[in-house]
Amino acid sequence: MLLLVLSGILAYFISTIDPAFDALFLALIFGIFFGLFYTDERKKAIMEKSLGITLPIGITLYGANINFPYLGYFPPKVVVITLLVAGSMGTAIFLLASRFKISKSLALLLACGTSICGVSAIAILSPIVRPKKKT
Amino acid sequence: MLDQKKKHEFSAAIIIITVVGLTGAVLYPTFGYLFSLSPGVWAFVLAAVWVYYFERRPGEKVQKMEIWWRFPKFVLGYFLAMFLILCIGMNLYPDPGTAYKALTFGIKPVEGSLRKFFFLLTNVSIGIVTDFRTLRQEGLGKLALAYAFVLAVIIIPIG
Repeated sequence: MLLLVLSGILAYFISTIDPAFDALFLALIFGIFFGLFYTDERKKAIMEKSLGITLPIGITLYGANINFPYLGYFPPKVVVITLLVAGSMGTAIFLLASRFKISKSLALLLACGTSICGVSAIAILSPIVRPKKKT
Repeated sequence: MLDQKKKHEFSAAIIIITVVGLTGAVLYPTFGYLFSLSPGVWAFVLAAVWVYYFERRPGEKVQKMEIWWRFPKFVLGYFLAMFLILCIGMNLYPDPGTAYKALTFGIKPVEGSLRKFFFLLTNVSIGIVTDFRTLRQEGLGKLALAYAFVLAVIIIPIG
């Protein structure tokens, strides 16, 4: 847990140097880096559990992000353009991925991850494209 | 070693992420804040599309509950938080403009920092649980080099 928190703090401080160093991306890179040396399956299981706590809290806090209460804040033109851009980006990625013969599940996750909100979107949406449970 | 199909998928994924990611990097400053408006809506749309369009075999009847089973329930917290904030704001201030300003002043700094903190922890966790040996087999150095190149030549100059 200490490693988790320290990596997050380190990513945040590096991100303050220049806006190009995105804190979330750096956090992912640090996680991958530590994951290379973190071969203990029990510790990885703890990380998976922490993912099940931190992601829902983060998403819930997104809901408290005050964007909607004052609806006039978003001109309809911006909303329409945004939906068009996000939709066309997602579709373009999906079509490109299909052209490259990537599996449909991976193509959809790529499309959603890139056009919505990155790795968090993939983490949210990945259970959806898992194979059906055999009954 | 990875089989040919996996290698092909992996390379294609890297190319797509690079090309479209750069387009996104240019568009994000203008529209980015709206892209992530509602993960719940996207989750529902994807669940419906996946169940009815991709996974359905010819002649198979899909249960509507399948969408619910696949839907990540925790995104309901997003709507709950939004609803609570709306209720509190509208009860305290009759005018939406004043409510928005007051809530932004009171909640945004705390919510923003906490959200960023939890997403940082989430991303570190995702990184740690990722099976990166697969990527290492494909040449981690090349990927790091590609990222450094894109960062130095494209992202930092664009700002």
